[in-house]
Amino acid sequence: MAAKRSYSKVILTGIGLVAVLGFLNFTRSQSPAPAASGTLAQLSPENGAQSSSPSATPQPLPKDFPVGNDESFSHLPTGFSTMSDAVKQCWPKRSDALGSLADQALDINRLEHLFGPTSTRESVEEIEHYRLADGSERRLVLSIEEGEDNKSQWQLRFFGVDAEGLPIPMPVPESHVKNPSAATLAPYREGERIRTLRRLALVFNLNQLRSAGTVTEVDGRVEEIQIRSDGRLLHCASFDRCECL
Amino acid sequence: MKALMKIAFIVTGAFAGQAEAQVWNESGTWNQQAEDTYAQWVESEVNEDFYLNGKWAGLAHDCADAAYYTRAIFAYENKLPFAMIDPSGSGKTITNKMTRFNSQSEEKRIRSFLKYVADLSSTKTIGRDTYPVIVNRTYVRPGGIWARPTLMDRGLFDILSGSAGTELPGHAEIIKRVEPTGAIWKLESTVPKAVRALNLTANMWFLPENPETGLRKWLTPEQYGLPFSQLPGYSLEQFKELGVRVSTTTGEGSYPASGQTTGARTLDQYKTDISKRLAMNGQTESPQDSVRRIAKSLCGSIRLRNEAVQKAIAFKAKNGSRCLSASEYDQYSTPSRDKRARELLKEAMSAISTFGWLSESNIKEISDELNACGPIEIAAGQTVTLTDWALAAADDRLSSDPNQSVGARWGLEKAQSTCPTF
Repeated sequence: MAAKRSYSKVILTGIGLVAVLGFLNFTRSQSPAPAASGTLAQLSPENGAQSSSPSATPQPLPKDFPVGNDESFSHLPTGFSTMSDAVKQCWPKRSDALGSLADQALDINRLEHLFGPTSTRESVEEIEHYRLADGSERRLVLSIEEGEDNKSQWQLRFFGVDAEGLPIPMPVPESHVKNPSAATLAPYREGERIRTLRRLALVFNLNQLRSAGTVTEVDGRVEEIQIRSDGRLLHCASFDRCECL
Repeated sequence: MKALMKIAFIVTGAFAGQAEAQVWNESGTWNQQAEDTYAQWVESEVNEDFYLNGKWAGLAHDCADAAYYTRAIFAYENKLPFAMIDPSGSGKTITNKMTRFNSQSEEKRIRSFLKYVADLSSTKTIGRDTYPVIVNRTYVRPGGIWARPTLMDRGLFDILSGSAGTELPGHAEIIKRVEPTGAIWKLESTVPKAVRALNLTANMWFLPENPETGLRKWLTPEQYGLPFSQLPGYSLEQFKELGVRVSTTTGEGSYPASGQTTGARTLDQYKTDISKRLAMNGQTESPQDSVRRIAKSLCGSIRLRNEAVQKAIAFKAKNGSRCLSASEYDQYSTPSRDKRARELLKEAMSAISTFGWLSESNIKEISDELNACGPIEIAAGQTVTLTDWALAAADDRLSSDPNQSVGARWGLEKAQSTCPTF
């Protein structure tokens, strides 16, 4: 009996040690990957330099392949400015048109203050997320695709969602895929809609100057912009993270 | 006792599983050395039969799939991270860190992941997982992408691009090699998804007009969300400076096509500009080299066309030769493929004659280069040469209609089917 108790203690101690070691290993594997090292300094754009063709024989990565340091890429975007600053940089003469736009949420009407009225506004992608009664999530994706015969058509894709929030493709009958009607889409729209994302192609006209690009609306708010006008590109990841290119 | 042993086993197994909780564990990052090695690997190892023979045989692909596979496979084999944008609108990226395939062996896990990536990817996602670059040999190199996502209807495309260009379907190609003359060889697949050889082509078949098209570099996982200005080599020059005609004649003596004016961007000028940018020490391609390059591109393209035509013929035979439905027509017709091939043939004509006319005499002048492709078996016991195809293309005798006979598809007989076209 005493021997059995000792043996049990050893086993329990062993389980405890394994648990501690495993926990330590788990937390180490969950830490974010180190960022790349020195990449920006090495890759200077616009230098026009022509490198020779790469050698034909690829070399395997060395065992001491560098994994980067903490001084390079940050996961927080840098180099963005506010929309008003980016607009001033791109089109100094138009920045007054922003007026009270600065520091406020965007919508397309406000963009029209800057680029003129829209002459074309076309949806090219619509994504809807639904929560079902059992708590699971479904995602409906409608996007303009083009077949071999050059004709554009809406195409339906449908997804479940796994525990990591990643899409799981779900089968869709072939007859539902192309140009589905509202009636066809109805069963895919079951549940509570929790997110709507629309990608719009826009063309603006201002005194015969055409501007064009895309905006992404999330739940009705413009969140992402890429609009080209007069040789410049305004890119916004959100209204206060913009850049002029 | 047995219960304690079981608990020990389960606890050990659970934490061991957490340590392996990814498609693959990464140990490096995409620095310059990794990108260099990637480029070398694509140029030397990724050939037409990459998905037919060897370790990665059997992966079914279309054009976007082949591109994603190449990047992901290299990342896996070199323990680098991989990411692509989630097209279902979560705002997340799909990465090698996902755990869905954990229960599978390593070999099955990576193939499941590749299939998953292929299921999600498209020419649209490629536009968001890559970025346009300055055209020089530092940034345009093997492993990069030449792509155009699917665009909207003709009217809107015209307006957005500011050109009167015609509409083209989405497509993506992997840059395989950049010649010292500046010519770019690319590997491409096609629709529908299938296990097939990649096609080697040098055809630059559209003028990039918006920032989701053109010659591109893959985003690394760390670069998602960065300002575009911080992406190495990011440039919009492919959409404004390159391709602009600066005079009514060029140094080579060619003239702008009828209706075009000085200052307008053209595909021909774009091709000239990028060749000059990528050429080493000012090297240029001789007319004969141009013809050989184009003939080689055409060979692969027409063999792919043959594959598509044969599938259409087989489908019709299997379905009682009835008329195809709209979606079947869409799947088995070849109008955009035929148009691209014809444009490429015209480019060959331009290399050997001032006005580049698609004439019988011009075609016969390059028949040796065309026929280096070998006979193309279009039906049992029936072959055509690339010269035969070229003559039919020049005469507009080819049919893209999948309801037509083999003979009509290849211009050997008149189109007789009265089935609806779509």
